[in-house]
Amino acid sequence: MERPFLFFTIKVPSGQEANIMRFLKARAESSGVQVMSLVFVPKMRGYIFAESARSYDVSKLVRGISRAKLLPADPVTFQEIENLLMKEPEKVSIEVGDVVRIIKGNFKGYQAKVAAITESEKGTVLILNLVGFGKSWEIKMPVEYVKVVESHSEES
Amino acid sequence: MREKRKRRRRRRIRAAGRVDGMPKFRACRQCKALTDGDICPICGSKDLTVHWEGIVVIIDPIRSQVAEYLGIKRAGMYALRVLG
Repeated sequence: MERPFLFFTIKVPSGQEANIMRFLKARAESSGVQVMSLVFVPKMRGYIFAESARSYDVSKLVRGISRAKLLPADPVTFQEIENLLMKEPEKVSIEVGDVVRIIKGNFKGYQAKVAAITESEKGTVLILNLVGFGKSWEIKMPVEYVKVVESHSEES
Repeated sequence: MREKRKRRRRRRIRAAGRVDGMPKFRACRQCKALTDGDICPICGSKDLTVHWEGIVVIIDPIRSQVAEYLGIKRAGMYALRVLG
């Protein structure tokens, strides 16, 4: 089934997204405008995307709110929004002793050996020993920042 | 009189959109729903966290493409990602 819904951009003050989204949700439910969802992506502070078939519905939703403005730009397609929506990162099995390549951050491009795996408030953190240095250098890195090059189990 | 009423209405609408400071929403670790209370409004869990990012408000879960993509079946306010 083809769905003609598009995403219209609403400009709001940075940091006020949650409040304004809560207000817009209450307004959409009470007025019955044809807006399916609202999306705020942390990469794009100050912008909310409203999923709707027509821009008229979105402009009706934000009408009268001084802090929210519907941008007259072209609507965004779902494919573009899909890239912004973050799905949970796939669980990669990393074990102690694996050789990994750092793909993000200050040590991008370096290889390291996993010394320990710890759980913190922000997710899984790896303690790595950089490979190719004269002395051992221990760094902490989130699991999303590395890619497995050589598995410990493959070696043995 | 009509003008005065219009002005009052405009002021009321503006005031509703102006809430200072971010509300302290917490996300449910089970279903990612956002709440400012102690219990998740969707699944009733008490396992809540302040570490979350991104917001998705689902108004019509049947027709919304975002709801389908994220696997959300009930209307409400959700976090895009729960960090820990």
